[in-house]
Amino acid sequence: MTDNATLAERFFRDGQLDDCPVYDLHGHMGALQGARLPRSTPEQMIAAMDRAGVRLTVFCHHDALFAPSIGNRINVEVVRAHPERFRAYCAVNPNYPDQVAADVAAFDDCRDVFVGFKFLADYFQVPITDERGEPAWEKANAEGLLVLLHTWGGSKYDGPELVRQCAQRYPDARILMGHSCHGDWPAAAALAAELPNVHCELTAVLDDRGAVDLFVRRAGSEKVVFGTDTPWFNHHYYIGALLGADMTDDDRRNILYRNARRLLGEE
Amino acid sequence: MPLTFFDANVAVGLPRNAGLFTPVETPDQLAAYLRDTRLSGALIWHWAQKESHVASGNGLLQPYLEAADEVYPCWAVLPPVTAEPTGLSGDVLEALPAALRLFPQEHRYLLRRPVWGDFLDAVSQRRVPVLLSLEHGASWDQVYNLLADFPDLTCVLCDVGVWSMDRYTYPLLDTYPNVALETGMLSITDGGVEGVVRRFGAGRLVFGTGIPSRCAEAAMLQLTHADIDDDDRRAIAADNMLRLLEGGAR
Repeated sequence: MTDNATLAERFFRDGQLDDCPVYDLHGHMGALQGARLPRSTPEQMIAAMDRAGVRLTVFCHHDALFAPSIGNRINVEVVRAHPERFRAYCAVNPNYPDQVAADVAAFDDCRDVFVGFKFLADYFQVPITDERGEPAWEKANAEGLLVLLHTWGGSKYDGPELVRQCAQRYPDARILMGHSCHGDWPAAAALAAELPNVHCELTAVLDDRGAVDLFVRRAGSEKVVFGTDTPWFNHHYYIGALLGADMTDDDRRNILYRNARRLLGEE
Repeated sequence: MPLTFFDANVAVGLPRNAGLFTPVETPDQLAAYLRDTRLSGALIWHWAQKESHVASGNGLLQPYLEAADEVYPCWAVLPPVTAEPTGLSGDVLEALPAALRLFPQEHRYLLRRPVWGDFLDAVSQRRVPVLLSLEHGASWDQVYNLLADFPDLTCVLCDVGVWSMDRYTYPLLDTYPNVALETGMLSITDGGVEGVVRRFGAGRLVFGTGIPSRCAEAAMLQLTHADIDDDDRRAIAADNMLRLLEGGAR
């Protein structure tokens, strides 16, 4: 097969491509109550990343999100043990505002670990606009950090209108709409097209055929980033869905790594 | 050598409500889909079987069977007790169906012995595969009830869910040797396919995509690079479902 082979031909043949690395900007780690996750340790996740050519995963450990008694220290431990393969989002649970303030205050001591913040508003049942999350938003806005939001169509905690409010209030925070306002795909595409600091993210999107095609058509592939919820979802499944979607290989490269590198400051 | 894929889970025709996806509307479109994705064949069902009536849907399925050599029908049936038309001529089992699909939610029946009586005993005996979709018309409770009453049934569970469903599926695979899983959604879970192969063997999986709602290349790329033996990969990709179809009569 020649160098002119398509990405699809090459991924099917080789599984992972040196000239098309994958950056997964929506990961987790560890076991969680709702399902058995066969590959949830750092070592298992790295092995899975290697099979698909995933260069870097940016994650927030399940325990950081769901066990406030543990909190963000688990993220720090993992990234410092595997600095070549992982970065983390600092979990923000506004139900514990003192902890939010403490995590934001300690953020600069962990610049080797954190690239930004993670809000999981539907689970915490606190809107992303709530004042108890403001310290994280203000930090992200002041320093151009990433903010990965769990977003869901119709949600009163993180639906499209609340995303718009945050994006306009914090124009220098770089917002990744985790799950791209799941189910309300046109709203997600419209937000990404209109607001420079808002991006669609593909976790739980790629099992709904047609959604990513819509994002690329309406917002452009420069406004879409790759994510899998790893260790929940399989990298090759998600890459394959991109290969089957209606877009160019140049679009796919934007989504798989170029946009992530730009957002992470690697370019 | 490239894998040969046979897709056990393709819906044809127009759904009641249009989605973002492009439906496989016509027999020509089914032929094009099989050709473009390099699938050797498919086991198909029609949206109208679920959303309108089994008789309407079964009637619409026939023209698609000519789309390619290896296209086989899943006929939908209703409980014999109400003696309703199904669009199938004569005795369903005497016609030796390739496979059957049941939609207990939408069609409002239970998957229990008082409802199905001798019919599913005969289906079990003839080893006709029965496909049940956890996305289209069946719940886990119903599946467990069905297999408790008809433990020898050859049953393929489709569209098992996007999150890991091992806590639902492993007890069934442990208990009922004729249960298999379709991989379309199982392959979304990282390590899901590999976990079933290691514990139960590759014979318990059949390849499927869930087209047109999902993207064929997704499940195909996952299986192509799954961490399993090549013999197991080939069996899952096509051979297992074709073998099950031989249990019916195609």
